[in-house]
Amino acid sequence: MLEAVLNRIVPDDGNGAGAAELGLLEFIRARLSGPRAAAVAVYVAGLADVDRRTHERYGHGFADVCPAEQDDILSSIESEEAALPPWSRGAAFLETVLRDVREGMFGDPAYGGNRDGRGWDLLGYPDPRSVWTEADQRMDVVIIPLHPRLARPPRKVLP
Amino acid sequence: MTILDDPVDVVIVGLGATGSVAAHVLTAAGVRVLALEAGPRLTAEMMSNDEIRNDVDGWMSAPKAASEVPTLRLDPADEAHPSWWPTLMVNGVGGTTIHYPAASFRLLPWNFRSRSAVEERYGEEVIPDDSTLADWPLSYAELEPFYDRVERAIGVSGSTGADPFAGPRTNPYPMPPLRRSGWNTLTEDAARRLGWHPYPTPAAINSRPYSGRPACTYCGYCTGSGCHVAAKGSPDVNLIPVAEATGLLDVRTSARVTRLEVDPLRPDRVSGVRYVVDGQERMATARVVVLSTFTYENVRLLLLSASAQHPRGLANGTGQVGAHFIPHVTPSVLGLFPGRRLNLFTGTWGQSTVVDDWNGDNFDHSGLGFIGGGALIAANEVHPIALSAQVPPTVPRWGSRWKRWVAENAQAIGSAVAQFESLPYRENRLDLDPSAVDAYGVPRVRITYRAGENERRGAAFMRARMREWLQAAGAHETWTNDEIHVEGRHVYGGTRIGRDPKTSPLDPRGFAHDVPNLTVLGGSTFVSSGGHNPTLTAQALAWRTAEEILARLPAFA
Repeated sequence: MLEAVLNRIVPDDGNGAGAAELGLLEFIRARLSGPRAAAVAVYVAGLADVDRRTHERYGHGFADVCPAEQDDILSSIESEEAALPPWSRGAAFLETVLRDVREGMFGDPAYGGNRDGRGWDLLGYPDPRSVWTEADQRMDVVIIPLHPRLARPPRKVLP
Repeated sequence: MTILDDPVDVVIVGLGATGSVAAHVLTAAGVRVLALEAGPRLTAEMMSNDEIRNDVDGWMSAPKAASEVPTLRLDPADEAHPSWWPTLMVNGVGGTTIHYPAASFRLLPWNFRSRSAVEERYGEEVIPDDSTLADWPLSYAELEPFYDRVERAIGVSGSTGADPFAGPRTNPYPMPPLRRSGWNTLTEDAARRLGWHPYPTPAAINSRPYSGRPACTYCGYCTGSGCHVAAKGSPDVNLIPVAEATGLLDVRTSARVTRLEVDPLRPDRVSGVRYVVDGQERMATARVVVLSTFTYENVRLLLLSASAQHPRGLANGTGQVGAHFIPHVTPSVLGLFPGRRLNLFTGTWGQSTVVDDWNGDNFDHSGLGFIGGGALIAANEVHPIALSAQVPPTVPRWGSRWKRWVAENAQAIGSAVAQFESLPYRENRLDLDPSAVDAYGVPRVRITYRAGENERRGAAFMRARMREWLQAAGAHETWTNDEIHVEGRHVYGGTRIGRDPKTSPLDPRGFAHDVPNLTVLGGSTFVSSGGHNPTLTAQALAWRTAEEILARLPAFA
């Protein structure tokens, strides 16, 4: 079910990696088992709500309707959340998923998402470096990753 | 059983931007100092270019600060909720400066006398009735020597004379400005074409080796992280080691201060502070107590230190602790530069281009409906996760259209931000939240902040100038958010300095009116926010207060 939601947020559409290729489900699972444990309830309630809405509108579960209908459900949730006051908007379901997707797509691959730097490829971001040179900082320079994506040395997350 | 420490001359609560200045000045003069810091020592090897660890998880706000983020309400009649303003406070030797981008501005001379200057030029009726705006009890000229001392002690890079609005200086900047990136030059040239006066942001970051520390490598992880080569002049690499080398500074880490105690025989004297290390309560006694934590924690500790002699809290005889709270309102504008690559992931925020033409009273406010202003800043150091959220409202935030837009445009987005001055208002204040507590069961601070028409009009004006700026630099499309945006890391007031105990808890030099052997340092002592990043001003004030402690110490036996 979450997988189906992630596939609409980051579709595998031939334009850069999709959710599965990026490892977003695994990333979110790891985060919810660790520093984001408090968001588990948001996911559980939010996914149930998504399914309920889809049943009401289309008579099937979210995973069983077509992409356009799935997008329709997610869009209606998004516009409802946009009307929430600032203190609760951040903890709303779709806002939480979008935040976690951005982190899983563009954060360091050491956390399990952004597999092989495919999210960074989409963003045109090479990799974090400890030095940027004067030449790197000129306008319109195309900076390529230091290592081919598949040969990037694994990075350890510091405590 | 509370363990009593050996008495010292001065105990410092919080070894961050300002406590470190005090430790440095006091130990240099032979005074014995105990510094209590809630966090650990953080070293260059512990830093990594990891946006999730730094910006998302905020690893440096452990063990204490993360759970004491205040609650916030936009109206005194509302219920408060956990603050949604961006807030990152660091526990560690060096404090929140460990992660600051090291912008080291001086305030404008006008900022120190904004009330009288506004009254003289526009008439007092332009100041909102419910604003408690006041002049500072000191002038720029009085603070200038202390700005100068701090700049040389921590090492500030900057372009001397490049800002025509700046006050006079005793000495040039100790180092030339940081490297100018392509983006810095593009925005500088654009501002000049508009007839403005751009200059490079002064920053406590080494543009060349300084004081035994190397030059910046421009990695782009100043914010949210400490420096991996000690090129950033946070006090853990300059002031504190110098103070420790005197043998007079005892730094106690992981020490969580719970309250300040009053001398039972002299209720107008603070006797020391109670703190907890490894679950053990201890009491440090001293002749002078320096409270130098973050704005929120300064106010909280004073209010938590209520006693029979001071039932409303320390230094709060007239109810002024928590009053005159002012944040920076920080509107920003984003712009799309089609076909260009700005690569703002390279370089550090401190390289930025700044414009002061719309700061303070550097422009005529007649008919504008607001007073004050702010610096406009165009910076580097955009981390990838943050960049991916910078999408115009016309583009969806997910799905194929989002992916395509990001793939085509992410590196062509530039932005500018304003540090707009918010006025103090009677109803905007900090107090203790009646229900929310931190991880230790201690009440959290509650912010009550409502922006006024002054802030709404001012922010709109700043947005319009930033649009012009980005467009002059080549932006085709620009977008912004019209909601009031507050920078939760730029918060001032709550213990402002002033001559009159009825309108300020602290005297002009930062000593409590009610309890003269207690001093408070940091952003909480500001009378107005000014339109620049605050740290250098807080440090200059701390230096001045520390010298005054030396003068007054003999009186506190």
